[in-house]
Amino acid sequence: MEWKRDRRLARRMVLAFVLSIGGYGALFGLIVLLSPWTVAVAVFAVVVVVLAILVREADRLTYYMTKAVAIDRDDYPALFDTVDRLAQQADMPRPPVAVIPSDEPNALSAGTGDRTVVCVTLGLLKTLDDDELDAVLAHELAHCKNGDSTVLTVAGFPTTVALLTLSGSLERMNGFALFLGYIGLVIVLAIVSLALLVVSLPGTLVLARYREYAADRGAVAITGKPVALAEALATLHGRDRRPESDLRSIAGLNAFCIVPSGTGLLTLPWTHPPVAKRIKRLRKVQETFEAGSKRD
Amino acid sequence: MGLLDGIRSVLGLKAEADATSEADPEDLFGMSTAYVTMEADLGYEPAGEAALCFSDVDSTDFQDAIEEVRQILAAGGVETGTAAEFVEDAHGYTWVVLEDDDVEDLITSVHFAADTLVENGYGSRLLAAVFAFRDPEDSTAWDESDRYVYWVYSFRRGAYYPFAPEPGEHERDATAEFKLQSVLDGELDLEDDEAYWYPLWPEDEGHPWE
Repeated sequence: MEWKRDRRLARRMVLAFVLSIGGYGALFGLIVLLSPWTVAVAVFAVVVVVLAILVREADRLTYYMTKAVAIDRDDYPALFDTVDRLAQQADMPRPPVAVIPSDEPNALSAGTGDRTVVCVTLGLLKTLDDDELDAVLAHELAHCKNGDSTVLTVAGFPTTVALLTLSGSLERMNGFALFLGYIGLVIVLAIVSLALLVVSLPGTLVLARYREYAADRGAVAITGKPVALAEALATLHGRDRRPESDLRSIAGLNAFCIVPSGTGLLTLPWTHPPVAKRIKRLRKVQETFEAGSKRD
Repeated sequence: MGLLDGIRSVLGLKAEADATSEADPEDLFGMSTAYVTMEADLGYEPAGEAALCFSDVDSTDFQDAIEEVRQILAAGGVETGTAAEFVEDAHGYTWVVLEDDDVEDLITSVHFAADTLVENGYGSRLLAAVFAFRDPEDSTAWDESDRYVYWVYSFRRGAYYPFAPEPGEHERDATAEFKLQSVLDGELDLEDDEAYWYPLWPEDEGHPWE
């Protein structure tokens, strides 16, 4: 068998980066345009510090937001051993593993370096069979190896700022603001942040999607079973939606989940390619596996 | 992390590249002198068993490669008397379990089997080769709970590491592993980073493949 690399994927990843840099250009362009250079430098410094914190503390943030509990081998021996084997196959030290007390089947990974935590929900452990669980865990390990938590946090930062400013200014657009006379400022902020969103969003979305495809391929390279991942995706996608209250607990971290989760104010939709498309690509990988046997 | 690794990671291709990287079976043969040292310096006897662990690929081609391994081992077995058995463990990994009192033959068979998979392009599926040794403390006492220590060869890393499970428990005997590491260092290519010393827990009291 010859493992075929997806050259198109690498090229598109470069394109996504160029688009993301456009987002940063817009963000800093705005700051430089709207403020004197001393303020601009200060803002720049703050951005760097905030980013560093977000990147370094991504795992703690995840524990906090999802109420995930780090586990030991004694708690979930099977899950723990499975991650062990997969990490060995992926050539990486075993990452910390945590379980999220939620019924919605999902998995995510966040953090940097050896502090990247792999989280699975209780729902995931209940829903998937062994092969499917392997595939999903391998997908998360691939995210770890590719440093996706860091890449998406950094690349998506302008989009996050735009979203936060936009939602904040929309909330303040009320009679109160009109009465106190700062409605003009709020409107300007809303328009500016909307513009920033329009410029930065495409890069973030394209990037997030290609990281998903790359993680899918990485997962198959680890498990050797494209069909299992395809089935897992189909199972997770085709499920009846659970009540909103369950979804909310992990909605904020959409970009890091195996399948998108719910909706929320700060959640970006479209960070994941359509499941049907991902399954189609996995089928192609399976095809190349079988093509190998015909050639020999 | 090298520059190339860094670029791969940023482009999101590192997971795929590492998981499909070629196996490194070169240093497997270190065992052919190491087992003598094991016995002479530490009193560990070879248990007459070794095993090769790999993960499946969902394809007909892979099944053909496995069949080839089976035939090669069967043909070799006629000459050397090495018995080969294929078993699947609870994690869905396949083990080729080899039995022979001659350690040299065990190493050759493990190498043959691994090499066949590498030749067929499945080197990246090889997880580990495991060589079992009997712990001197328990082998003299006549009881059922035989204690084993293992040398595990990682094809991914191209290096050996010791694994000494406490029988019936999921605990490692750190002292024994440390002793093995210090005595065999230099003779075997050892994995420096202990974060990669992955355990291969047995289901219960037996070997990891049982």
